Amino acid sequence: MERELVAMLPRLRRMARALCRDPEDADELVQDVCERALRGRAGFTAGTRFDSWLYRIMQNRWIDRCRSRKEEKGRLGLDQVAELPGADGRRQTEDHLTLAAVRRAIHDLPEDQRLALVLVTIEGLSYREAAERMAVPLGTLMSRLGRARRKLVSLLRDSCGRAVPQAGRSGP
Amino acid sequence: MTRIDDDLLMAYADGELSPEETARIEKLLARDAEARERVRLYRETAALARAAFASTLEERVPEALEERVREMARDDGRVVPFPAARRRVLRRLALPLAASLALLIGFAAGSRMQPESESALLARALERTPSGAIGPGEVLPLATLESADGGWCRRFERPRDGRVAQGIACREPDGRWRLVALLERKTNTAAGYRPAGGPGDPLSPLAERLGMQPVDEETEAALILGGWNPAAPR
Repeated sequence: MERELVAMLPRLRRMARALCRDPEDADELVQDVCERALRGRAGFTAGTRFDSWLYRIMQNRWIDRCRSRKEEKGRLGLDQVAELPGADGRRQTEDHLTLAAVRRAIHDLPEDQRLALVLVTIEGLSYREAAERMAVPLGTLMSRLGRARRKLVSLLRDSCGRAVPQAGRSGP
Repeated sequence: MTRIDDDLLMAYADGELSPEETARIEKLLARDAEARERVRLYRETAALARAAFASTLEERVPEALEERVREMARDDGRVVPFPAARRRVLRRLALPLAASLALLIGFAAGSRMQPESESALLARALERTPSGAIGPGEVLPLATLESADGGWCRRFERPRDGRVAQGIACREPDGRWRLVALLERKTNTAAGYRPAGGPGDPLSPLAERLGMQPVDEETEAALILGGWNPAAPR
């Protein structure tokens, strides 16, 4: 298992980075997950996905940590971002963002929304798979994912200041 | 005109709708610019979220972390013997050429991979999953390639029932993914870890022979972001 674990480290670190604001926390989480995996290796069913098993452990460890820490940081009362606006803000998100701003924005999301976003966009699960993983109905998953993404747009827009009009761009 | 529900647009952007629903939404989108922009935003947020953490995959794993994991593995190994089942662990990335080997060129997506949902899954994975991540149907895209005629292709793997399918698929102008090559091998778990794309992976030389050039991560992210539209702005 040592070899498989080491081979998985880059992907575990990626998910941990998405979940944890602080990169050191992220690596601590990865180490914690590896430790659990080694101790609990009997819990791994041969023939099933090793990576999914590790991701699941990570998800659970992360939730436990969050609960124990009760980090309220990052909850900025943005739960009310209702709907996506239309065309105007789009160019900004496309053209004026650094990935660092995206990372910050993701870390500012409430945990359940962040997890939904990570499972679907980064881990690449389908809605159904992600809903199962989070043990919530499909509709709940979708509402979390949708809120996460609408909020992301608005957070990104806030972090970028005013829209800069772009010339010579035409939509489809 | 009634405003199209956000969740529906998001599911459409993520390729989660049935063919019927997709067709219905596309009809509505055709005459609703505002809804099209919202679809775009959903695609962008997904692509941005992926891109934001993609660099972690390229980073060197801190030595201390890797060493710690190896140490824990060894300590644990002394206390608890490996379960016999370990031999059967599927190693997705580790497969040297083994017994069953069938290279099929010019294969139509779907005709091999069972019912229609299979090829839809594959297409969905190829369309939106960055290389190195696991997509719908456990499809793992490995690389994005530019074909000799300027089209886009992807190499991918998919483990299944003790075998792994490796393939190359190219995106048609109409948005469909066509399977160019498919190789199925038994997973030989007795052998050690060997990264896909390394020696022993026959699809790399094949891609080369077909004149396909790998693109970098940024280009790939932009393609996914832009819906594989070559005219999409970088």
